[in-house]
Amino acid sequence: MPHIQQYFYTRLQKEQSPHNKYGFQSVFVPEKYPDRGFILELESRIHFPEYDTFEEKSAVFYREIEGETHLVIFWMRLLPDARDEQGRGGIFMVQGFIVPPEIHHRVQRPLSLLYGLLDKYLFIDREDALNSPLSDLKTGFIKPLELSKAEMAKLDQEDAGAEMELWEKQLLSFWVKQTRGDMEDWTMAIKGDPRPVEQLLNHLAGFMPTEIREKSGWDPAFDGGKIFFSPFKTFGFSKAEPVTGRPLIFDLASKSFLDSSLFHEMLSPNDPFDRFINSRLTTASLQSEIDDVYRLGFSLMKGNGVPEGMRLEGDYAELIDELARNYLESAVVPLTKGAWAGRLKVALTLDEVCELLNERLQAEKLAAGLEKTIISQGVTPSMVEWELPKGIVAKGTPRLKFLNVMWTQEEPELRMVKAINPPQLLEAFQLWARTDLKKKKWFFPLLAKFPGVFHRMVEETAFRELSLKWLHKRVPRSHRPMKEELVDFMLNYQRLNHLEKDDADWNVLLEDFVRETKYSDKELRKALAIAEKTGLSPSKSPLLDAFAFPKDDIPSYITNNEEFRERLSHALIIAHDYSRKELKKMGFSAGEIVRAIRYRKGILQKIRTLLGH
Amino acid sequence: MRCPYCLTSNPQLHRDERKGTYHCPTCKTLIPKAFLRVQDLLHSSVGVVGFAGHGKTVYLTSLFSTLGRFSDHWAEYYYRSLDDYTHRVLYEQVPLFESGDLPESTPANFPNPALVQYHKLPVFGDSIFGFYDTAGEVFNEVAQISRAGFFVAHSDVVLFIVSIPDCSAEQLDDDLSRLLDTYIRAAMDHLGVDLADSQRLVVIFTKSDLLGERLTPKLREWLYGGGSSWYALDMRQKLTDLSMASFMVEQWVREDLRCARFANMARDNFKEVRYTMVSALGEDFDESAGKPEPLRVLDPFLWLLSFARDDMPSPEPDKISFWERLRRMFSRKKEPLALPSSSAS
Repeated sequence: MPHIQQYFYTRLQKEQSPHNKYGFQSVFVPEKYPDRGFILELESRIHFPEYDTFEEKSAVFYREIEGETHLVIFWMRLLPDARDEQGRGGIFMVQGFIVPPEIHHRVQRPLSLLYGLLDKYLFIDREDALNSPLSDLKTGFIKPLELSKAEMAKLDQEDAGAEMELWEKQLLSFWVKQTRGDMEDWTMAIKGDPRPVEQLLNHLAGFMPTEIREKSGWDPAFDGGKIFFSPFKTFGFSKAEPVTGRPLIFDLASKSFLDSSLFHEMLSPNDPFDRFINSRLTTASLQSEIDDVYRLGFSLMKGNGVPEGMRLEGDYAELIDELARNYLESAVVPLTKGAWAGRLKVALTLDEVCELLNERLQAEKLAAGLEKTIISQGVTPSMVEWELPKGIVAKGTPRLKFLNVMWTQEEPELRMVKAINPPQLLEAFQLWARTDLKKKKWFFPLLAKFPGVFHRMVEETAFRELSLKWLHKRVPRSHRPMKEELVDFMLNYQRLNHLEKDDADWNVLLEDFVRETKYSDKELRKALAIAEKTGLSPSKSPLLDAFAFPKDDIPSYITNNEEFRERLSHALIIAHDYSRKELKKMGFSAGEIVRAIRYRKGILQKIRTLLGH
Repeated sequence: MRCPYCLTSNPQLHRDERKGTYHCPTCKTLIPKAFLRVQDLLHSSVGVVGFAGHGKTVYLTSLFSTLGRFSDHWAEYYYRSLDDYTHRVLYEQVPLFESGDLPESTPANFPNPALVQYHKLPVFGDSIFGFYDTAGEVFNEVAQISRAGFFVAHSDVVLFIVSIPDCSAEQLDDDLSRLLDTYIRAAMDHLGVDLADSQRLVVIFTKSDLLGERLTPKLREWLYGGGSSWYALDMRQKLTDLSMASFMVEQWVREDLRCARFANMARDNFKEVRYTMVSALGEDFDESAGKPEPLRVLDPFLWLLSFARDDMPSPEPDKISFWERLRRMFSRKKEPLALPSSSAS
């Protein structure tokens, strides 16, 4: 069975003292820990408050002994009737219990050990201590207590106490941070009588992560004490405020910090553990859960992501996911405006969230996360008004820079857009298409530079109409009679690349049209009319040239191509009304002439055919 | 400025712009406004050393009580507290003492200074003193002094309080030397303080009314002539008398009490040493009888003032104080023994 070592301090006359000393002294010390340095350290925790502010108080702290963290409870009692040989009062005694981890780990609230278990071992007065069978006046040692099995079992029935109220949760948040050392040299002082103060601190300590609780400690009656020189960081006082140091004072009567502005400055909204305390912590919360959440929160805040070995599945998965995302949100809020942080935390996977935190919100990573957010959530300025910070955008990909133009209203550089790979570019343009494009004159010309993307865009019904309108307008006046045919041709025959160059030759497109489509007589006539008016380049539009101006030399690759020959014969019949004789003279065979004659339409042409012309 | 609460020397204080207050950048304590001009006044930090139960707290309380009553004698004189702790000492502990209650024994807490401002003291004018009262148990061992006796070791002046009636006559020199030896070792070796350069010592024999026949007739006359009224007039002459009394007491310590070891150790390790004897409660004090009538309690205080005046920058740097001339004249310091020559070793 583990032992609880004891300690006793009071004022004695020289002849009473096992050390033959007069005055306040460590009368009995544990035989196991007789080291004077250790005893001096214990003595440094004893503070007798100014005036009669207490009758009894319990100070609590933790101390590493032989590699294990022990809980030390000091129970201090004023002896109001005791006098020294000068007749002076102010005599008190301190009984200390040094509790090994295998015992104190069984309770969440340190004073659960004192009240209801160790209190029956408390000395009534100095005489009781001096005459105890456990204490040895010859050696100055005091024997340890050994808990029975029944007493040990009682530890497991610790009462969790009442649910915490909001002010208690705030106090706990502050206390955790202060104990962790986040508050520089700030300490906490609670104004109130010693008993309620220690009850409160003991209750709150039960909700602390183990590693924090074992760094904490308190003296509930530190009236007039010097904080700066005290090993404690948490105090209580009822009449005389502690001096020196920087105590943030909480008034137990009004349940508020005396300087609330300071308090609010010190509460960090982005602390995951704070969020846990305020949203999830209940008396049903297990110590293991509290410890895990704290470990996670601390790790996140240190930029280390989710700690190794922490379960990402099961009971805590949802909690961990929530905490990590919330932490990310609050960490990103100061870096961006508007609702970016809120959207970011939803858009990313937990792994991405952790990676981003792990990289300490490195600008490149954050830019990538925001880019993903914009794309996956289809974020446009109508949804988030505020533009992204320039510093983050500058570290982003060309696509993020292109998307950012939605907010900056600048004209995107072609070079930047060309650096985006096609699938990503399509997503960006698709998002762009959801914005108001009326004032963005650069949009379609830019899109036209990426025919493949343009084609995919046009496939979307909502975008098709807008695209057609712009394409029709792009057809030059000279070719307007065929604007619908040419636009349809571009769209249906994947020829939007025709628009890549601003000075595109539209007769070349017309050439392709007559070369590749099954045009009607009417379309052919219109095409040839345009060709005649605009003046053709025979080298760029040889077929059209041949159709329009058949008396010139016709390139052999046309005359040698069966399909082209038929198209030519058709053009000669429809546009130039050639006779059989003229067709024969052009070198067409009898069969070709017979097939061409069939293109003749109308009664007069039929009569001409019957007459053998 | 040296902070009176942590004794750290700070080139500059922190100013709270919102409240217009000043704080020590080290221990963060609010510095009393009057203390901001402490360099212009007589000032001193005063530590109290002594065995438990020898009357350190009783002496200080008696001193405050006595000084509080002198506004009736000294024109325009008063004192006031500079912080809450001192206020409680002056207005709660002192009245209790005056009604016959002894102060409670001092616990071994870190001491708070009693910061008192004195206005228009005769001869000396305005001054500020910080008194550091520490539990006697602290002075039993070096390690304790290093921790809780920090303030005392860094004080300008130490009041070394000894109640001869509470010591064994046979081992008085042993007891006094042991206490002083412990203190010197703690200050010099553990706290890095060069006492001979920085600290003055005022030895105060408390409870002197209980010494009876051990006092010489002259000292008895000196002690019993030292009621409050002795200080009311002609302060300059009283200072000369005090110097002579210090010699008288030192001689008594060396020759009658046979404590030369203690006296030599004190002289060798401190900047200056003075001897006084007081009765903080007065002759035949009985707690039930009421108000104490202290004897000679202002003597050590006058030495504090005198030392503080000596430390003030002098308009004539070459001028040697009366006391310094007197000390040099009567100095009986022995020449150090000649060391063996290096060739002989």
